[in-house]
Parts: sequence; structure tokens; C-alpha cells
Amino acid sequence: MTDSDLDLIKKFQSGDATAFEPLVNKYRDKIYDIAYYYTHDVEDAYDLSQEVFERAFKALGGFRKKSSFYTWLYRIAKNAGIDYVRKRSRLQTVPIEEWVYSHESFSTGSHDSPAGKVELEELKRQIAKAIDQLPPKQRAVFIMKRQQELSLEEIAQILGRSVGTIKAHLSHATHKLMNLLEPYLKK
Amino acid sequence: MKCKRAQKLLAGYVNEVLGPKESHAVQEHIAECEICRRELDTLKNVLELIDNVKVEYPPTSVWENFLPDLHRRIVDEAALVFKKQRRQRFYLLPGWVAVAAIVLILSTSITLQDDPVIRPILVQRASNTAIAKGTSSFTMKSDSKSTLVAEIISELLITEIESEKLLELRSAIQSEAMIFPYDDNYDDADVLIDVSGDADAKADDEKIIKYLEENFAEFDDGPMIESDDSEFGAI
Repeated sequence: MTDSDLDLIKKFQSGDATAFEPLVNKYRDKIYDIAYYYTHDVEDAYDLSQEVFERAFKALGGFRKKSSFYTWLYRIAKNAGIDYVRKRSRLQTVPIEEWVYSHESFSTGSHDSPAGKVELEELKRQIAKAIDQLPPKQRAVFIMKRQQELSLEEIAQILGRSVGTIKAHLSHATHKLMNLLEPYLKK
Repeated sequence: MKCKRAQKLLAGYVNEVLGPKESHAVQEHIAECEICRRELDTLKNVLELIDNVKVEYPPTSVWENFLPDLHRRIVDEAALVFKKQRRQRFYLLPGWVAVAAIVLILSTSITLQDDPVIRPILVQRASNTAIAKGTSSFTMKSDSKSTLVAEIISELLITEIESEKLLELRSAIQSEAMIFPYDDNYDDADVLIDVSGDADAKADDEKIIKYLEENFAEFDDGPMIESDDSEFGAI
């Protein structure tokens, strides 16, 4: 934990609630990124990241400093993300709209053309759908490793699992995504 | 290494989480095995495809309001806690709700600190705060420093002060609930709130108003404090 985080948490826990603001400013972008990978939607990601900090605000008084603040916050974000996906599944809605895809080599035509744009949107939907189909823990590990670039040790600490288990989740997730998305490589 | 073993390790290889020995063994195998090499290429291409999905951010105008939006969200949630428990004579207030009020009070987005009426109150009281004890507790004895926090919230919630900024604050809190210190027979982890309009509550109202009048008296141009029975009766 950085001294700065620790100092701010001490201030918060001793009554200076404004000490929460620098923590929000410092980790806002990272938490938003996680939220985006769970929601695939700008508006939902914003709401979800707000919810993460709201949960953190409520719980920070009881934070025991056994892990770094970021690890603790990340765990909250992961749980909020899983809750979001479960809730969305129950509602049976698929608000997958705002993905930006910049890859070129898998497209048969230009993305500037109407046909290319349709193809691009379809590809974005399929990628989001494939990630959504992963079991919660596999999805969490995949997002943390591939998109957040956390180390295996960091992920293990956040999820409370061994490094070996994290490797297994990552392997299963990668194979599953390959099976789901391989048809789109061959287009 | 056989293909079956190699294919089990390919995902770890492409994610760069294998140890040097396993990684070397995979490299040796794919150099000789066309099938596994194709599988590795497929894995790499799929991951590249996913990696190129970029995070998109909200417009700057929205992004800049992240903290004010968060303040509002926390305070709204605190107001909901009030509303859910209004029918009870006394109820417990989670510590974070009180903290939320303090965040709002001190929030630069509302700039209460600059208000000539509010500033001396904040300087005197907020400097003595001691809150957030445990996950959902809030030290609450009438002679403790943290009582002052509850008192500030009480004042802001129930008093009539000639300040637009305070009205803005009150509106944001969206609650007429009163908070006051009540330490007898309760442990120090609770805040008791009186929101009813019955006779006992009226006596409590008078007690609070008296306290507020005494404490605000030092500000010549300070707040005018009045009791509004209809307000309490409507709760």
C-alpha cells in the first residue's frame, strides 16, 4: 500500500470524510475500466463505477488494511461487476452497444463501407457475448489478466485463490473464448 | 511432449504464465507440430481480437461530474435510509450515513465553506469531528466530539437559516429527519434519530431548539432558528 493511500484511509477513519475524494480521483479510471469490461456500455459502466465507490465509502470505516486499498477496491469492483451481469441476465437484456473495435485483419471488407460497419458491429456483439458466457470467476480472471494486466499473484489475492487456480481459470477461459470466437476469425 | 499435453498448455503459453521449463517444451513442440502451431495461431488471433476492444469513456462534461454525482448518490442513499425507517420512534443510523452528510457539508461542489453564515459553524464543529468507527457504527455520546457531527447535521436539517446554499444542501439531503445525541442506556455505536411528531418528540424538539439557539447565539449575523411543527408533524 502506498503511504498516500494509507494516510488518506487513516484520515477518513478518524473522521475526515473528505479524504475519500483523492482516493476516488486516483482510482476512478481503473475502476471505470473494470466496469466497462463487465457492462460493455458507457452509461452502465459509469453507473457501476459510481456504485463501486459508493460501496467502498460505506465499508471503508471497517477496512482493516490487510491488503492494499487497491486490491480491496478491486474486489468490490469485481463483485459489483458480477452482480451487474447476474442482474442483466435476469432481465434478459443485452445492452451491448458501445464497443470500439480497431482490428483490421479479420475483416473481409472496409469498415468504412455500410457492409463493413454492419460486420464490425456484429463482431463487437459476438466478442461481448462470448465474454459474457464465461462463468463469473473465469470472466473475472480473464478481465484482470488480459484487460487490466494484473499479475497472477495480484489476481490470486483479490479472488482469495491460489495462483494455480487462477492459471486454471485463465486457461479454461481462453479455450472457451477460442471456441466461441473462432468462427469469426474465418470470415 | 505429446500434442494432448501441448494443447493443454497452449493457453498458458499464449497468456505468458508458464514457467520457463514448460514454456520451452511448448516452443519445441510447436516447432515440429503443424496442428498445434495452427491451434496456437488461432488462440493468438482470438486474444488479439479481444485485446483490440477498447474502453470507451463518457463525454468530458459527464466525466468531470464524477465526484459530485457520487456525492449526490451517497446522500440520496442516506435519505432513503431515513425514509425507510420513518415510522419508528427511534432508529439506528448507520455510520456511513452520517459520514455522507459530512461529505456533503464539506463538498467543494456546494462550496458551503465560502458561505459567511455556514463557514464559522463548519470551522468550529467540523474540526472536532470523530466519526466512522467500524463498518457501520458511529460513536454517539452526548459529550463526545462526534456528537458535534450529529449536531451539525441536526442543525442543517431542522433549522431555518437565511442562506441559499444551506437550502440547497437541505434540498439535496431530501429529508426532514432530525438527528440528536441521546446517550442514555445506549452503547456508543448508535445514533438515535427522532422523526416522529408525538408529544415526547415535541419535548425533544424543544430541547434541540434550545441547544441550537444557545450555540448559534454567538454569531451576530448568524442563523435564525425556528421550530416548524407542521414540518415535524408531516413526517
